[in-house]
Amino acid sequence: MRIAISATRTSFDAPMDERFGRCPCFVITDPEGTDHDMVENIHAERGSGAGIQAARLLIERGVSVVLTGRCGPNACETLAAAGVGIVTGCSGTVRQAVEKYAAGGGEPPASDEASPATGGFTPGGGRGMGRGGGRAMGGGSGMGRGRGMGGSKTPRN
Amino acid sequence: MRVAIASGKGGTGKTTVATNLAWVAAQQEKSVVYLDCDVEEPNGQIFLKPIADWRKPVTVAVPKVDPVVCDLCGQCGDICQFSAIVCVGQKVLVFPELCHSCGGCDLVCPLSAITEVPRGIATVMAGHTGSIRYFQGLLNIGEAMSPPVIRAVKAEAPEAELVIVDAPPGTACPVVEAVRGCDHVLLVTEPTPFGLHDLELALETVQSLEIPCEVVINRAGLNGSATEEFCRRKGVEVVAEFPDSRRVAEAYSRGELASEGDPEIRDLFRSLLTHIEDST
Repeated sequence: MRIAISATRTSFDAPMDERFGRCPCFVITDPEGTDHDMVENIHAERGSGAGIQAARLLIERGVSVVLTGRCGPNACETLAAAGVGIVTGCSGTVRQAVEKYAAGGGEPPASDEASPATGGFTPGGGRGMGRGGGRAMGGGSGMGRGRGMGGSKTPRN
Repeated sequence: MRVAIASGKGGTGKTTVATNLAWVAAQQEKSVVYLDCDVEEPNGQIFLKPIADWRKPVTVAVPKVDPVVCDLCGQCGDICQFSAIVCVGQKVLVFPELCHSCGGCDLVCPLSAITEVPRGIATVMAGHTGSIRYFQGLLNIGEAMSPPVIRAVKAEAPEAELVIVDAPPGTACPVVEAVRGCDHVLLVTEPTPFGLHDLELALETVQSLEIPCEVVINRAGLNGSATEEFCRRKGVEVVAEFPDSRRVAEAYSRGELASEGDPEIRDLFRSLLTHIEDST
Protein backbone atom coordinates (compact mmCIF):
# COMPACT_ATOMS: atom_id res chain seq x y z
CA MET A 1 0.00 0.00 0.00
CA ARG A 2 1.31 3.43 -0.94
CA ILE A 3 0.73 6.32 1.44
CA ALA A 4 1.28 9.95 0.44
CA ILE A 5 1.99 12.59 3.08
CA SER A 6 1.88 16.33 2.36
CA ALA A 7 5.28 17.63 3.43
CA THR A 8 7.26 20.85 3.73
CA ARG A 9 10.46 19.23 2.41
CA THR A 10 11.45 16.08 0.57
CA SER A 11 12.51 14.27 3.72
CA PHE A 12 10.99 11.56 5.90
CA ASP A 13 11.81 13.68 8.94
CA ALA A 14 10.46 16.92 7.51
CA PRO A 15 7.50 18.59 9.18
CA MET A 16 4.24 17.85 7.45
CA ASP A 17 2.53 20.58 5.49
CA GLU A 18 -1.02 20.84 6.70
CA ARG A 19 -2.18 21.95 3.26
CA PHE A 20 -2.88 19.30 0.68
CA GLY A 21 -3.10 21.04 -2.70
CA ARG A 22 -0.48 23.68 -2.04
CA CYS A 23 2.15 21.74 -0.13
CA PRO A 24 5.59 21.92 -1.81
CA CYS A 25 6.03 18.15 -1.96
CA PHE A 26 4.68 14.73 -1.08
CA VAL A 27 6.50 11.87 0.57
CA ILE A 28 5.17 8.55 -0.71
CA THR A 29 5.91 5.51 1.42
CA ASP A 30 4.47 2.27 2.76
CA PRO A 31 2.96 1.79 6.27
CA GLU A 32 6.29 0.45 7.57
CA GLY A 33 8.01 3.68 6.56
CA THR A 34 10.44 1.99 4.20
CA ASP A 35 10.81 2.64 0.48
CA HIS A 36 10.36 6.43 0.37
CA ASP A 37 9.58 8.25 -2.80
CA MET A 38 9.71 12.06 -2.92
CA VAL A 39 7.42 13.88 -5.32
CA GLU A 40 7.58 17.62 -5.91
CA ASN A 41 4.12 19.18 -6.07
CA ILE A 42 4.48 21.08 -9.32
CA HIS A 43 0.90 22.36 -8.93
CA ALA A 44 1.44 24.18 -5.62
CA GLU A 45 1.49 27.62 -7.24
CA ARG A 46 -1.42 27.13 -9.64
CA GLY A 47 -4.00 29.89 -9.73
CA SER A 48 -6.87 27.47 -9.47
CA GLY A 49 -7.35 23.73 -9.20
CA ALA A 50 -4.11 23.06 -7.30
CA GLY A 51 -5.74 20.43 -5.12
CA ILE A 52 -7.35 18.67 -8.08
CA GLN A 53 -4.05 18.44 -9.93
CA ALA A 54 -2.12 17.40 -6.82
CA ALA A 55 -4.68 14.64 -6.38
CA ARG A 56 -4.15 13.48 -9.97
CA LEU A 57 -0.40 13.48 -9.38
CA LEU A 58 -0.83 11.03 -6.51
CA ILE A 59 -3.45 8.93 -8.28
CA GLU A 60 -1.06 8.46 -11.22
CA ARG A 61 1.55 7.20 -8.76
CA GLY A 62 -0.75 4.53 -7.38
CA VAL A 63 -1.27 6.13 -3.97
CA SER A 64 -4.12 4.58 -1.98
CA VAL A 65 -4.11 6.75 1.18
CA VAL A 66 -3.33 10.42 1.74
CA LEU A 67 -2.29 11.76 5.15
CA THR A 68 -2.62 15.53 5.37
CA GLY A 69 -3.81 18.39 7.54
CA ARG A 70 -6.62 19.75 5.46
CA CYS A 71 -7.97 18.82 2.09
CA GLY A 72 -10.27 21.06 0.05
CA PRO A 73 -13.58 19.85 -1.33
CA ASN A 74 -12.45 19.57 -4.94
CA ALA A 75 -9.27 17.68 -4.06
CA CYS A 76 -11.29 15.35 -1.82
CA GLU A 77 -13.77 14.67 -4.59
CA THR A 78 -10.95 13.91 -7.03
CA LEU A 79 -9.19 11.55 -4.60
CA ALA A 80 -12.44 9.85 -3.69
CA ALA A 81 -13.31 9.32 -7.37
CA ALA A 82 -10.17 7.21 -7.69
CA GLY A 83 -10.85 5.37 -4.43
CA VAL A 84 -8.02 7.05 -2.53
CA GLY A 85 -8.53 7.22 1.24
CA ILE A 86 -8.08 10.61 2.92
CA VAL A 87 -6.95 11.15 6.50
CA THR A 88 -7.08 14.81 7.51
CA GLY A 89 -6.02 16.45 10.76
CA CYS A 90 -2.54 14.88 10.70
CA SER A 91 0.38 16.83 12.15
CA GLY A 92 3.99 16.50 13.25
CA THR A 93 6.70 15.11 11.02
CA VAL A 94 6.11 12.83 8.07
CA ARG A 95 7.59 9.97 10.11
CA GLN A 96 5.26 10.61 13.05
CA ALA A 97 2.22 10.76 10.79
CA VAL A 98 3.06 7.43 9.18
CA GLU A 99 3.80 5.79 12.53
CA LYS A 100 0.57 7.05 14.00
CA TYR A 101 -1.36 5.89 10.99
CA ALA A 102 0.27 2.44 11.11
CA ALA A 103 -0.38 2.18 14.87
CA GLY A 104 -4.04 2.92 14.24
CA GLY A 105 -4.34 -0.22 12.15
CA GLY A 106 -3.15 1.08 8.83
CA GLU A 107 -6.44 0.44 7.19
CA PRO A 108 -7.37 3.03 4.59
CA PRO A 109 -10.66 4.69 5.42
CA ALA A 110 -13.31 4.01 2.85
CA SER A 111 -12.98 6.78 0.35
CA ASP A 112 -16.56 7.86 0.21
CA GLU A 113 -17.59 7.44 3.82
CA ALA A 114 -16.22 8.83 7.05
CA SER A 115 -14.68 6.11 9.17
CA PRO A 116 -14.34 6.16 12.97
CA ALA A 117 -11.54 8.32 14.29
CA THR A 118 -8.54 6.40 15.52
CA GLY A 119 -5.43 7.50 17.31
CA GLY A 120 -6.15 11.18 17.20
CA PHE A 121 -6.67 11.34 13.49
CA THR A 122 -9.67 12.99 12.04
CA PRO A 123 -10.67 10.90 9.09
CA GLY A 124 -13.32 12.55 7.03
CA GLY A 125 -15.34 11.54 4.06
CA GLY A 126 -13.77 14.50 2.37
CA ARG A 127 -16.24 14.66 -0.40
CA GLY A 128 -19.25 14.91 1.82
CA MET A 129 -17.63 17.40 4.10
CA GLY A 130 -16.47 19.71 1.39
CA ARG A 131 -19.37 19.64 -0.99
CA GLY A 132 -21.85 20.11 1.75
CA GLY A 133 -20.27 23.22 3.09
CA GLY A 134 -19.34 24.75 -0.19
CA ARG A 135 -22.30 24.19 -2.37
CA ALA A 136 -25.04 24.80 0.09
CA MET A 137 -24.36 28.52 -0.09
CA GLY A 138 -24.75 28.68 -3.83
CA GLY A 139 -28.44 29.03 -4.21
CA GLY A 140 -29.49 25.65 -3.07
CA SER A 141 -27.96 23.52 -5.76
CA GLY A 142 -25.94 21.49 -3.34
CA MET A 143 -28.19 21.08 -0.36
CA GLY A 144 -28.84 17.44 -1.04
CA ARG A 145 -25.26 16.52 -1.83
CA GLY A 146 -23.66 17.46 1.44
CA ARG A 147 -22.80 14.35 3.36
CA GLY A 148 -20.62 13.28 6.19
CA MET A 149 -20.51 16.49 8.17
CA GLY A 150 -20.29 14.54 11.40
CA GLY A 151 -17.03 13.14 12.63
CA SER A 152 -14.75 15.80 11.20
CA LYS A 153 -13.76 19.11 12.65
CA THR A 154 -11.43 19.85 9.78
CA PRO A 155 -12.12 23.30 8.37
CA ARG A 156 -12.50 23.71 4.66
CA ASN A 157 -9.71 25.34 2.74
CA MET B 1 -20.57 59.13 -23.21
CA ARG B 2 -19.50 56.24 -21.05
CA VAL B 3 -17.44 57.01 -17.94
CA ALA B 4 -16.02 54.34 -15.66
CA ILE B 5 -15.29 55.11 -12.03
CA ALA B 6 -12.51 52.79 -10.91
CA SER B 7 -9.79 52.54 -8.29
CA GLY B 8 -7.07 50.17 -7.31
CA LYS B 9 -7.74 50.15 -3.60
CA GLY B 10 -11.23 49.41 -2.36
CA GLY B 11 -13.10 51.88 -0.20
CA THR B 12 -11.61 55.01 -1.74
CA GLY B 13 -14.99 56.36 -2.82
CA LYS B 14 -15.86 54.94 -6.24
CA THR B 15 -19.52 54.59 -5.43
CA THR B 16 -19.61 57.98 -3.70
CA VAL B 17 -18.21 59.65 -6.82
CA ALA B 18 -20.31 57.57 -9.22
CA THR B 19 -23.66 58.09 -7.46
CA ASN B 20 -23.15 61.80 -6.84
CA LEU B 21 -22.05 62.34 -10.43
CA ALA B 22 -25.16 60.52 -11.64
CA TRP B 23 -27.35 62.62 -9.36
CA VAL B 24 -25.96 66.02 -10.41
CA ALA B 25 -26.23 65.01 -14.08
CA ALA B 26 -29.86 63.97 -13.57
CA GLN B 27 -30.50 67.32 -11.83
CA GLN B 28 -29.40 68.98 -15.06
CA GLU B 29 -32.02 66.90 -16.89
CA LYS B 30 -29.50 64.79 -18.72
CA SER B 31 -30.37 61.20 -19.54
CA VAL B 32 -28.33 59.10 -17.13
CA VAL B 33 -27.72 55.35 -17.00
CA TYR B 34 -25.96 53.96 -13.93
CA LEU B 35 -24.30 50.55 -14.21
CA ASP B 36 -23.20 49.02 -10.93
CA CYS B 37 -20.53 46.62 -12.15
CA ASP B 38 -19.15 45.90 -8.69
CA VAL B 39 -21.12 42.67 -8.87
CA GLU B 40 -19.65 41.12 -5.75
CA GLU B 41 -21.09 43.93 -3.71
CA PRO B 42 -23.20 46.38 -5.71
CA ASN B 43 -23.93 49.23 -3.32
CA GLY B 44 -24.95 52.04 -5.66
CA GLN B 45 -28.51 51.13 -4.72
CA ILE B 46 -27.92 52.22 -1.14
CA PHE B 47 -27.51 55.81 -2.31
CA LEU B 48 -29.63 55.94 -5.46
CA LYS B 49 -32.48 53.84 -4.00
CA PRO B 50 -33.82 52.56 -7.31
CA ILE B 51 -37.22 50.94 -7.61
CA ALA B 52 -36.57 47.56 -9.21
CA ASP B 53 -38.71 46.80 -12.26
CA TRP B 54 -36.82 44.10 -14.13
CA ARG B 55 -34.51 41.20 -13.45
CA LYS B 56 -32.86 38.41 -15.39
CA PRO B 57 -30.63 35.50 -14.39
CA VAL B 58 -27.07 35.35 -15.73
CA THR B 59 -25.93 31.92 -16.82
CA VAL B 60 -22.62 30.56 -18.03
CA ALA B 61 -22.08 27.41 -20.08
CA VAL B 62 -20.49 24.47 -18.28
CA PRO B 63 -19.73 21.00 -19.63
CA LYS B 64 -21.89 17.94 -19.05
CA VAL B 65 -20.39 14.57 -19.89
CA ASP B 66 -22.41 11.67 -21.22
CA PRO B 67 -20.86 8.70 -19.36
CA VAL B 68 -22.26 6.23 -21.89
CA VAL B 69 -20.46 7.87 -24.82
CA CYS B 70 -17.27 8.88 -22.95
CA ASP B 71 -14.34 6.45 -23.23
CA LEU B 72 -12.25 8.24 -20.55
CA CYS B 73 -9.55 9.40 -22.98
CA GLY B 74 -8.86 12.42 -20.76
CA GLN B 75 -8.35 14.99 -23.53
CA CYS B 76 -10.95 17.29 -21.96
CA GLY B 77 -8.92 17.44 -18.76
CA ASP B 78 -5.68 18.00 -20.65
CA ILE B 79 -6.97 21.08 -22.45
CA CYS B 80 -8.64 22.68 -19.43
CA GLN B 81 -6.35 25.30 -17.87
CA PHE B 82 -8.51 25.62 -14.76
CA SER B 83 -8.94 21.97 -13.74
CA ALA B 84 -12.67 22.38 -14.20
CA ILE B 85 -12.88 18.98 -15.84
CA VAL B 86 -10.64 16.03 -15.02
CA CYS B 87 -10.63 12.35 -15.84
CA VAL B 88 -9.70 10.23 -12.82
CA GLY B 89 -10.21 6.55 -12.27
CA GLN B 90 -13.31 5.52 -14.17
CA LYS B 91 -14.97 8.92 -14.01
CA VAL B 92 -14.86 12.37 -15.53
CA LEU B 93 -15.33 14.96 -12.81
CA VAL B 94 -16.66 18.43 -13.56
CA PHE B 95 -16.09 21.33 -11.16
CA PRO B 96 -18.54 23.90 -12.52
CA GLU B 97 -17.36 26.74 -10.28
CA LEU B 98 -13.87 26.54 -11.81
CA CYS B 99 -15.13 26.56 -15.41
CA HIS B 100 -14.43 29.67 -17.51
CA SER B 101 -16.86 28.53 -20.24
CA CYS B 102 -14.27 28.46 -23.02
CA GLY B 103 -15.79 25.39 -24.65
CA GLY B 104 -12.36 23.79 -25.14
CA CYS B 105 -13.37 20.44 -23.66
CA ASP B 106 -16.36 20.24 -25.98
CA LEU B 107 -14.15 21.03 -28.99
CA VAL B 108 -11.47 18.44 -28.27
CA CYS B 109 -13.75 15.56 -27.28
CA PRO B 110 -13.32 13.03 -30.12
CA LEU B 111 -16.59 11.29 -29.28
CA SER B 112 -18.74 14.42 -28.77
CA ALA B 113 -19.59 13.16 -25.31
CA ILE B 114 -19.68 16.71 -23.93
CA THR B 115 -22.56 19.13 -24.16
CA GLU B 116 -22.69 22.59 -22.65
CA VAL B 117 -25.43 23.30 -20.15
CA PRO B 118 -26.33 26.62 -18.55
CA ARG B 119 -25.50 27.31 -14.92
CA GLY B 120 -26.96 30.31 -13.11
CA ILE B 121 -24.35 32.43 -11.33
CA ALA B 122 -25.93 35.84 -10.87
CA THR B 123 -28.86 38.16 -11.45
CA VAL B 124 -28.97 41.38 -13.43
CA MET B 125 -31.47 43.84 -12.03
CA ALA B 126 -32.77 47.10 -13.43
CA GLY B 127 -34.71 49.89 -11.85
CA HIS B 128 -35.26 53.61 -11.93
CA THR B 129 -34.59 56.40 -9.53
CA GLY B 130 -36.00 59.71 -10.72
CA SER B 131 -34.72 60.04 -14.26
CA ILE B 132 -31.73 57.76 -13.68
CA ARG B 133 -31.95 54.29 -15.18
CA TYR B 134 -30.17 51.92 -12.83
CA PHE B 135 -28.66 48.49 -13.59
CA GLN B 136 -26.70 46.17 -11.38
CA GLY B 137 -25.33 42.66 -11.39
CA LEU B 138 -25.29 40.56 -8.25
CA LEU B 139 -23.34 37.34 -8.02
CA ASN B 140 -25.02 34.47 -6.23
CA ILE B 141 -23.46 33.75 -2.85
CA GLY B 142 -20.42 31.54 -3.22
CA GLU B 143 -19.81 32.40 -6.88
CA ALA B 144 -16.50 33.96 -7.89
CA MET B 145 -16.73 34.47 -11.65
CA SER B 146 -17.65 38.12 -12.09
CA PRO B 147 -16.56 39.02 -15.67
CA PRO B 148 -19.54 37.30 -17.36
CA VAL B 149 -21.87 39.15 -14.99
CA ILE B 150 -20.24 42.50 -15.73
CA ARG B 151 -20.59 41.77 -19.45
CA ALA B 152 -24.27 40.99 -18.91
CA VAL B 153 -24.87 44.27 -17.06
CA LYS B 154 -23.13 46.28 -19.78
CA ALA B 155 -25.02 44.45 -22.52
CA GLU B 156 -28.36 45.49 -21.03
CA ALA B 157 -27.53 49.18 -20.78
CA PRO B 158 -29.28 51.52 -23.19
CA GLU B 159 -27.46 54.51 -24.65
CA ALA B 160 -27.67 57.78 -22.76
CA GLU B 161 -26.04 61.18 -22.58
CA LEU B 162 -24.12 59.91 -19.58
CA VAL B 163 -23.49 56.25 -18.80
CA ILE B 164 -21.70 55.79 -15.49
CA VAL B 165 -19.93 52.50 -14.85
CA ASP B 166 -19.24 51.87 -11.17
CA ALA B 167 -16.31 49.45 -11.49
CA PRO B 168 -15.13 46.89 -8.96
CA PRO B 169 -11.90 47.62 -7.07
CA GLY B 170 -8.60 46.03 -7.99
CA THR B 171 -6.70 45.69 -11.24
CA ALA B 172 -7.66 42.23 -12.45
CA CYS B 173 -10.13 40.80 -14.99
CA PRO B 174 -13.30 42.27 -13.42
CA VAL B 175 -11.89 45.80 -13.63
CA VAL B 176 -10.70 45.31 -17.19
CA GLU B 177 -14.15 43.99 -18.12
CA ALA B 178 -15.86 46.98 -16.49
CA VAL B 179 -13.74 49.76 -18.03
CA ARG B 180 -13.41 48.17 -21.47
CA GLY B 181 -15.28 50.19 -24.08
CA CYS B 182 -15.59 53.27 -21.87
CA ASP B 183 -14.65 56.69 -23.25
CA HIS B 184 -13.15 57.87 -20.02
CA VAL B 185 -11.96 56.50 -16.69
CA LEU B 186 -11.83 58.34 -13.40
CA LEU B 187 -9.51 56.70 -10.89
CA VAL B 188 -10.59 57.50 -7.36
CA THR B 189 -7.84 57.40 -4.79
CA GLU B 190 -7.23 58.44 -1.22
CA PRO B 191 -4.04 60.18 -0.07
CA THR B 192 -2.62 57.24 1.88
CA PRO B 193 0.40 55.08 1.05
CA PHE B 194 -1.93 52.18 0.30
CA GLY B 195 -4.12 54.37 -1.90
CA LEU B 196 -1.11 55.59 -3.84
CA HIS B 197 0.34 52.12 -4.24
CA ASP B 198 -2.86 50.80 -5.75
CA LEU B 199 -3.42 53.93 -7.83
CA GLU B 200 -0.13 53.19 -9.52
CA LEU B 201 -1.29 49.67 -10.40
CA ALA B 202 -4.72 50.85 -11.54
CA LEU B 203 -3.21 53.56 -13.71
CA GLU B 204 -0.97 51.02 -15.40
CA THR B 205 -3.99 48.80 -16.08
CA VAL B 206 -6.11 51.56 -17.58
CA GLN B 207 -3.24 53.01 -19.62
CA SER B 208 -2.52 49.59 -21.11
CA LEU B 209 -6.15 49.59 -22.31
CA GLU B 210 -5.50 53.00 -23.90
CA ILE B 211 -8.50 54.70 -22.32
CA PRO B 212 -8.17 58.38 -21.37
CA CYS B 213 -7.86 58.53 -17.63
CA GLU B 214 -7.79 61.08 -14.83
CA VAL B 215 -7.51 61.01 -11.07
CA VAL B 216 -9.94 62.06 -8.37
CA ILE B 217 -8.54 62.44 -4.86
CA ASN B 218 -11.09 61.69 -2.19
CA ARG B 219 -10.67 62.68 1.46
CA ALA B 220 -8.02 65.16 0.35
CA GLY B 221 -6.03 66.83 3.09
CA LEU B 222 -5.45 63.67 5.05
CA ASN B 223 -1.85 63.48 4.07
CA GLY B 224 0.91 65.20 2.13
CA SER B 225 1.12 65.73 -1.59
CA ALA B 226 2.63 62.39 -2.64
CA THR B 227 -0.41 61.61 -4.79
CA GLU B 228 -0.23 64.93 -6.65
CA GLU B 229 3.48 64.47 -7.18
CA PHE B 230 2.92 61.00 -8.53
CA CYS B 231 0.25 62.25 -10.96
CA ARG B 232 2.49 65.10 -12.14
CA ARG B 233 5.30 62.68 -12.77
CA LYS B 234 3.00 60.37 -14.75
CA GLY B 235 1.38 63.24 -16.64
CA VAL B 236 -2.08 62.39 -15.31
CA GLU B 237 -4.41 65.20 -14.37
CA VAL B 238 -6.00 65.41 -10.93
CA VAL B 239 -9.45 66.64 -11.95
CA ALA B 240 -11.13 66.83 -8.57
CA GLU B 241 -10.29 66.80 -4.89
CA PHE B 242 -13.03 66.09 -2.40
CA PRO B 243 -12.24 67.26 1.11
CA ASP B 244 -11.96 64.92 4.07
CA SER B 245 -15.27 66.12 5.45
CA ARG B 246 -17.28 64.90 8.39
CA ARG B 247 -20.49 66.01 6.67
CA VAL B 248 -19.74 63.78 3.68
CA ALA B 249 -18.95 60.86 5.98
CA GLU B 250 -22.19 61.37 7.89
CA ALA B 251 -24.26 61.50 4.71
CA TYR B 252 -22.52 58.35 3.54
CA SER B 253 -23.21 56.54 6.80
CA ARG B 254 -26.90 57.35 6.42
CA GLY B 255 -26.96 56.14 2.82
CA GLU B 256 -27.53 59.68 1.53
CA LEU B 257 -25.97 61.52 -1.39
CA ALA B 258 -23.59 64.17 -0.09
CA SER B 259 -24.28 66.50 -3.01
CA GLU B 260 -28.01 66.46 -2.29
CA GLY B 261 -27.59 68.12 1.09
CA ASP B 262 -24.26 69.89 0.79
CA PRO B 263 -24.03 72.76 -1.74
CA GLU B 264 -20.22 72.85 -1.59
CA ILE B 265 -19.92 69.18 -2.46
CA ARG B 266 -22.62 69.58 -5.10
CA ASP B 267 -20.58 72.34 -6.78
CA LEU B 268 -17.50 70.13 -6.79
CA PHE B 269 -19.43 67.36 -8.53
CA ARG B 270 -20.94 69.82 -11.02
CA SER B 271 -17.45 71.04 -11.92
CA LEU B 272 -16.25 67.47 -12.28
CA LEU B 273 -19.19 66.68 -14.58
CA THR B 274 -18.50 69.77 -16.69
CA HIS B 275 -14.87 68.80 -16.94
CA ILE B 276 -15.71 65.27 -18.12
CA GLU B 277 -18.16 66.59 -20.70
CA ASP B 278 -15.63 69.08 -22.02
CA SER B 279 -12.83 66.57 -22.28
CA THR B 280 -14.71 63.92 -24.29
